[in-house]
Amino acid sequence: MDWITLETKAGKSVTAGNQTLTPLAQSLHIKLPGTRGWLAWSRPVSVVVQSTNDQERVLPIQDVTFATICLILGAGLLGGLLTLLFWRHR
Amino acid sequence: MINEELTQTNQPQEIEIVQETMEALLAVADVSAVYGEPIEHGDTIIIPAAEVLCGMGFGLGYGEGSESVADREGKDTPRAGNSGRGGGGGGGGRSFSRPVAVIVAEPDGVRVEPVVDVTKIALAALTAAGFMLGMIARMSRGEISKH
Repeated sequence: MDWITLETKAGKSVTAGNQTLTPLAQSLHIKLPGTRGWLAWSRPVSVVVQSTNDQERVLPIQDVTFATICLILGAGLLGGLLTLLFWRHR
Repeated sequence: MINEELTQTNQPQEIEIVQETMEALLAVADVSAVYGEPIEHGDTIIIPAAEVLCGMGFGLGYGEGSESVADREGKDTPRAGNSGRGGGGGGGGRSFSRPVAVIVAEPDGVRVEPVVDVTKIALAALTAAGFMLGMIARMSRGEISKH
């Protein structure tokens, strides 16, 4: 499918003291077939930290705001459905 | 005849140019847009990270009026010479960026600090609460049937 692509790319590495930081980002490109429209969504994924003694660590980047909003809206929807079910079986 | 050839050759070329420009604009919303320039403060380096959403589209149209009957018959009437051609196009786009986290690199280690948008979370909570209250109110008024 060439109208939808998902790829992970590495950004410019930064050296801080004895460690090198390489940020990774994920991008989703959607080109709707039959139209001249595009949509691109990029988000940070993680940072790869390399120490001088060849140790590599991956620090994930979590989107706390998005996760919290999804949780609240999901809970609201679930709560509404449960209230409706409770109301109908009372 | 020459006009027809021009229309046929120019249209795909123009579309291609706009398409290439749009693709180049979308490429900007890539890793370089997600991570900002590192900010140095003493021994500490801060890299801001954001989510980038970009959408755009365009449309082009061409048209050619057919030769009028008066033109074809060579008559000198008010409708003579009414044939012509024209084209138009338009496009639009929107990009949106939201801070997600900050990477802090200090001499004793690297940590990721999330950016929490309290306003958005509060708005989501109010929306969810409004939905729940609205449902309860409709149920208590009997607007939603039990069956």
